[in-house]
Amino acid sequence: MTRPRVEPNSVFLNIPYDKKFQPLYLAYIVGLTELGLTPKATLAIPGGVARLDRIFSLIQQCGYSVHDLSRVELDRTPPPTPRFNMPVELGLAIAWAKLNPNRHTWFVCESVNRRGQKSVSDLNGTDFNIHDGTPEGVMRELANAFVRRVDRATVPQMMRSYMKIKRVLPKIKSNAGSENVFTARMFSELITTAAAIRNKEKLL
Amino acid sequence: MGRSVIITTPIPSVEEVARSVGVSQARLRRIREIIDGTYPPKTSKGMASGLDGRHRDADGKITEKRGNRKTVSLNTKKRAKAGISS
Repeated sequence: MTRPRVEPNSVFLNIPYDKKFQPLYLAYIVGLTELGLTPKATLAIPGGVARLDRIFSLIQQCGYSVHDLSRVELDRTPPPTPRFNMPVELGLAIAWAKLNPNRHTWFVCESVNRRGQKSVSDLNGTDFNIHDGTPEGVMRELANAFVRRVDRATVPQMMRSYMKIKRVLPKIKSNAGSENVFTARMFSELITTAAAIRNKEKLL
Repeated sequence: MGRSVIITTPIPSVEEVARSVGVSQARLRRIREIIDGTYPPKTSKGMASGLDGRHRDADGKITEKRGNRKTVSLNTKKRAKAGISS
């Protein structure tokens, strides 16, 4: 298997795609973009046999990955089933980073302290980034995980951009012709919007 | 796994970000227009010199003005002259 070229600015974002998670989804996009990083997600990857291969290839392309385990819970649709996509993708990233420590670094986020160590006890000894389930918490944890020596975005700056993207979201949705933010097109539009807001705020 | 990493790569420009995620120039232009629409317009020279009889604060709030003074300032002066404390 050939190794894909690593994009050092790219972050594989492993998060749930559901309406309840939307504020944190926006926070991850804005936070990473404010830090000069480009989020990548599986939204553009179609289902099917090759899906897992393509997910693994995307992880390999990214210098970093962020895995949010705060919503690994039973869904309401019978039969109640835990959502295992996030832990599976975390496992792929861990294995890849173990074999290639200079090519990939992973971070794991949770909203409740010590819950992650309970649900995935194999990760005992790992520092979880606890975001308390709030956009501000996500910004804080991203700023702690990804440190820039110069041109460092502060959490209040990131929150200003977050409020701005929330304000323009209806227009971005109508521009993309989509009500659902968890689509490949909306994901790329939101990343570009976050970058344009960062640029505009800098000029003020 | 380290708790934090130092990022040394340069921050990509908006155009670079748009290109890397597959957003066209036309879509980027539209996004920029949407964002620009949320910021208050810059104060022009004419407005600053009081030609439109209004005063626009930096945050975009508009108040009435007379000459080169905001009416708030004029009222305060008038009240002070009349010996009315605020």
